[in-house]
Amino acid sequence: MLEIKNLSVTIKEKEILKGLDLTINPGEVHVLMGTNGAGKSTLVKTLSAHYDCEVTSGKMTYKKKNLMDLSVSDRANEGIFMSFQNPTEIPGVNNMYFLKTALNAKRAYHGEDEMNVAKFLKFIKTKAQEFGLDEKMLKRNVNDGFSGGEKKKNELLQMLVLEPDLILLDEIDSGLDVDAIKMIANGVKSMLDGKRSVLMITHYDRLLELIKPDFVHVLSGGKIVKSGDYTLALEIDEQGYEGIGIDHVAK
Amino acid sequence: MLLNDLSQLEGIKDTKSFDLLSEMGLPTKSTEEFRQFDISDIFSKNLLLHSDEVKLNGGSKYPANQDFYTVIIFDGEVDIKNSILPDSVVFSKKEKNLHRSPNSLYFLSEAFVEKENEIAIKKDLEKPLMILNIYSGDDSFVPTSESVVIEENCKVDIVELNISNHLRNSFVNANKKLIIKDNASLNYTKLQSSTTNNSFISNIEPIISKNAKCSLIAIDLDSKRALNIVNSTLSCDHSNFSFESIIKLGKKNKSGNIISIVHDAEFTESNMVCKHLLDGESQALFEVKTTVNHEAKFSKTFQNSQTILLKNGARINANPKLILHTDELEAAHGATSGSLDEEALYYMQSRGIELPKAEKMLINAIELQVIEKIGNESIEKLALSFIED
Repeated sequence: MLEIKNLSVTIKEKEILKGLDLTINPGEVHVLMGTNGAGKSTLVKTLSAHYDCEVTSGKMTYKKKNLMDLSVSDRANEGIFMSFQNPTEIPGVNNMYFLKTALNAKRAYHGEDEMNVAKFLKFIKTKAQEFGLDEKMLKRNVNDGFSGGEKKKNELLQMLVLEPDLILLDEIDSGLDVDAIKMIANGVKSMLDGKRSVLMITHYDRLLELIKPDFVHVLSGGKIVKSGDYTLALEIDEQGYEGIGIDHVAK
Repeated sequence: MLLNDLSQLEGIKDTKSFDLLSEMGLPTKSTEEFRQFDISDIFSKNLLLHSDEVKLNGGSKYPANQDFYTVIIFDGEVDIKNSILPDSVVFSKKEKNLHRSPNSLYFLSEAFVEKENEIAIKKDLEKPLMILNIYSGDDSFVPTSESVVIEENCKVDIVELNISNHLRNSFVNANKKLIIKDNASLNYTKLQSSTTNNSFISNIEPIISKNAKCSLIAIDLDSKRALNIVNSTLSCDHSNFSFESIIKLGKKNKSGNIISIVHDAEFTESNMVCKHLLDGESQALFEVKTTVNHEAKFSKTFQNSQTILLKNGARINANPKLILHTDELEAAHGATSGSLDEEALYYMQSRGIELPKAEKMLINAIELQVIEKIGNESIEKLALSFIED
């Protein structure tokens, strides 16, 4: 599904990723770990064409398409969904309208008819009820005045509506209590149908207990320096990065 | 006739106002230069004074909206036959009382108008009142004079809609006195748009009594050239004036607000917030001056200009000014300009919404923030459809 080769990325002329390689096949769950500033968020932002990230070399192929040829919205409509670490507040844009516009943009991109208001209302309410999300969230403006937890739940709701193929989760568990982490994990797990893939960034083991990853990668100095299975995450949790022989990025 | 040649003007009906106009003079290129919003060319254009005999046979073309009482005004003349008004709204043609204004353009209209249109509202209204101004003509000068009087303790919502599809290359100079008596409240929304090379100047003079409130919301969509000139002295305790505006322009269009408020009594409040969405080579003006005199202790005044520049060629001239003669008050002023929130645009695109649509959604969000302040459902609906059209 996704193949990244020798990817180098700069942000404000500072090189963050330095020749990174990663392959994600359909149905796989990958976890990206690493110390603060290692470049984890830069990788997912680059995959979503964030304007801060400048690709200086390398190749990213997604569903056999060169990602560099696709705009931000095209990447989203091709099925890439990044859950933001700090979701943006958009005062004045109603959440329901935003979700409907996003869903219909994807449908139009794939040559499908728009979903009308009545159908969308039924669809969105079912999704919200299924995962215990507060319907009041739909009537508010996008993330405007939301608590940290509400913002993450709104990200989950968007993901459930847009049904992406490649889910990028940038610390979706940060700032959440135990019950909210369970809710998010259930939402993500419900999407795993053997075809969809996940690349998630987390510092905590709790989310990984609930969504067992197939692969765990450690990022340091702008490259993946170690890969393994779930046991690598357990080792990091127990011994820290230095304990498994990885220098802190600052060193 | 050329308006800047005062000695040659024909059709003067009010010599007192004409004398005041002559004394003060019209804005000239040099006096307007500092504003970078020169309007002096309007006065050097050959225009025809609009005839008194306005044809009032077009009112039925504008079917009544069930959500509003309606006053139809053709080129400054009320079409009472086609207007729909309850008994508590009284229309009359009245002799003018000389009203002192620091704005010479106010006297330009007064000089040409013998009697003013007065709309007096005696009781709370079940529905908001729509003032439908319809203009027509080519190369015309249309001076108008109107008073809206809100009697004591009344709370009234009014929307003014200006229609100028049949007006070309013309200049409308509209005087509007808003007289709000003790404990009364007026919410006045002004919707304006003109794409047919016209210039609109509204000379607005709110006269606000004790414990009374005047809230003006002005929405201007792509007027070729428009200016609201607002002057008010808050001389009664607890009088309150607020002005919210949204100016959305493209091409080389120009629109602005020049507001001067004087606080002369205790516990008076004024709040002026203008949002500008400027595309193409358009230009907006925010010139707001508040003077708080020594007598106006415990007053509050706020001024804010917020501008989104959508293209490099667009310009805003923001000039918020506070002149404070007392320490016991709350006051703040500010002006910001920038582009649409890049992170919000990215967030929307990352959900599959293409950039032009995302920009439109953000612009609509800014417009909505002003519309939500109207506080009357029917007028909010009308303003929304006005924006969507």
